[in-house]
Amino acid sequence: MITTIALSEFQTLRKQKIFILLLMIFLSMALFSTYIGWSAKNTILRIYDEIIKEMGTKDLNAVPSNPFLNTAPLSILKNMVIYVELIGSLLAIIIGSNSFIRERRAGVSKIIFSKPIRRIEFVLGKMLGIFLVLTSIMGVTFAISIFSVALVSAHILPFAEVLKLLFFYGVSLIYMFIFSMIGLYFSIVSKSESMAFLIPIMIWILISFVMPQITSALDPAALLNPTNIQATFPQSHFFTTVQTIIHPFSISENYQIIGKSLLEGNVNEFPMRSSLLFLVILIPGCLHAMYKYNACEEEMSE
Amino acid sequence: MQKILTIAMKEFHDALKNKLFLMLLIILLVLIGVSIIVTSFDFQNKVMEYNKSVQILKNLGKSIDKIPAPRFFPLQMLRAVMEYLEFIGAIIGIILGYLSIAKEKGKNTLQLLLTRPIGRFDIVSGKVLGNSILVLLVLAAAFVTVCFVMWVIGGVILSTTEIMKLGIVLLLSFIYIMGFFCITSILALVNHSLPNALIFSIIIWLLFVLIIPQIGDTMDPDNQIPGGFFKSMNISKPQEKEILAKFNTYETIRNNIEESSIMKQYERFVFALLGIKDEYNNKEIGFILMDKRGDGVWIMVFFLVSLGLEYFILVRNNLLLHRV
Repeated sequence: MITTIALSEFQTLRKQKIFILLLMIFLSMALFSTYIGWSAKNTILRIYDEIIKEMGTKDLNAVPSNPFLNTAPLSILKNMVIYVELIGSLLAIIIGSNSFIRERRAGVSKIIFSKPIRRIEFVLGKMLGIFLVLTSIMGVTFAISIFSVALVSAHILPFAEVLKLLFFYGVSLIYMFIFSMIGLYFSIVSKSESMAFLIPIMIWILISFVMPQITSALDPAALLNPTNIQATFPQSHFFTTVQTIIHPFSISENYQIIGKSLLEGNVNEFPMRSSLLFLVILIPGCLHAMYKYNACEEEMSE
Repeated sequence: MQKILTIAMKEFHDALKNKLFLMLLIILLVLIGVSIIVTSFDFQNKVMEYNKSVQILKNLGKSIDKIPAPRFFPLQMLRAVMEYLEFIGAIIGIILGYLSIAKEKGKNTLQLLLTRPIGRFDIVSGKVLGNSILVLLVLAAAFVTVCFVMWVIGGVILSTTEIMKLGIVLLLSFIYIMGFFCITSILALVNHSLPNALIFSIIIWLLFVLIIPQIGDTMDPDNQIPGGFFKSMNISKPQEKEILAKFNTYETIRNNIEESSIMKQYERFVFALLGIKDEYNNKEIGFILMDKRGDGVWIMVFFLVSLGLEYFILVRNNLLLHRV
């Protein structure tokens, strides 16, 4: 039963125009991000050569070393961390929200729950379906990244780098799954379709912008820059305490740290705890919401 | 005029009762407060570091002339505030625009409204006026929060010129937010499905407010290294310009990508006015307005075209009444 619901979920999404539009944007950005990374790196290396040429005529000792000499081959994909955070999580919210709203809008939920289907099976089937969809998206994105990196750098990535990239997309899958669960939860408990979508968007803003601002003191625009910028954190007891409390739960910040570790290799931290904690709360949360859901209530309003 | 005012007041009160709007407003005000406090602490740290360096030099019996004292420009502290207005302000515009049409379409009251002796022009005008007052109040609350936090934390009282600059920023922010209001209203009017209209608006916001400016920022050679690439290479601003002139095609593409985002036009204008961009700091208002008139014109065009479209669609399109 769970597999049937999951497969149905997978097939229905293919017909959703909004999902297809956002998916196309996400996949295009996956392709484009490689080009942006390659183009920026290439330009900066040419600028560096230009600076060396200028300095070479004056003082050779004053020439700083090339900051891009030992960058990891995957570093040209560093923008993907931001695109997963922005477009990927929004896509995940839409997938999660749509999965149950569709049934409620059409009144199908009443029919489904009048059949001998256990609610737990139904919601697990939905979750499995969502997970399959997200895995497929990540799989295609992984293939696009490998292909595009090989294309722009004119050589195939070594196996170790491919593994790192695979791990990165695995972590991204977990990150997106969290947002799809937030979407699914609010599609069960919300009274209207708009609220089922808007509340997860508010939570997304809180997670992506508000929490990192409080814990890192970075400006909102700086949070979207994949370069590792450090802001001066206020030296006050209040801020340090708030940072200590919030930082472990700031999943977007922790996701960025993991992304940088894997793609750029300049940090070696893998703070997965916050993501797993969110999943531990959200999955039973969705199960509980579905258990409490009243199928006989009025149909969902727009 | 009375009809317009009645609709405007109804819009105003409806929005104030909406929990989501109130939640977003509170988030915005809290963020504004937090960002100014964080910036104030940052400035205090700089002053402390300066004083320490001065003390060390004095103890060594050396001259302190070589260390520049940190200069305080209160409006420069508003960088994060403006960025929040760019992001969350636009979302407030989207939610208000959506609610304004969704409540009529959802309850089928649009047709009912049109059976009354009220012109379609009055309906659009009332809705735009009511939400304009609300957006102006939101912005006023934001700027009062700014002034209050600055006064409490740093004892800063803004000068007349600074208040005038803030006033222009407020006006421009209003135009920017109302542009998003009109776009979302249009999408909600023409789309069969209201949730789809909302998602479309969010996608537009995502593309033009987050992704396109992010691409431009990421392509900036100076942003490739924390602290700035040219600074790390000990290159001065004039030298940087000279070098970048040799990469004209790349810079033109990058600039065009940035300029295709209305948010970037808004950001360039307000950053210049607030002196966040060093070259405009402490410059006359007239000079900045003249220099940034191109960005200002684009923001006005964005607002006027979307407003004009909203009027055109609701006043001219009879089919809309059947799309409920």
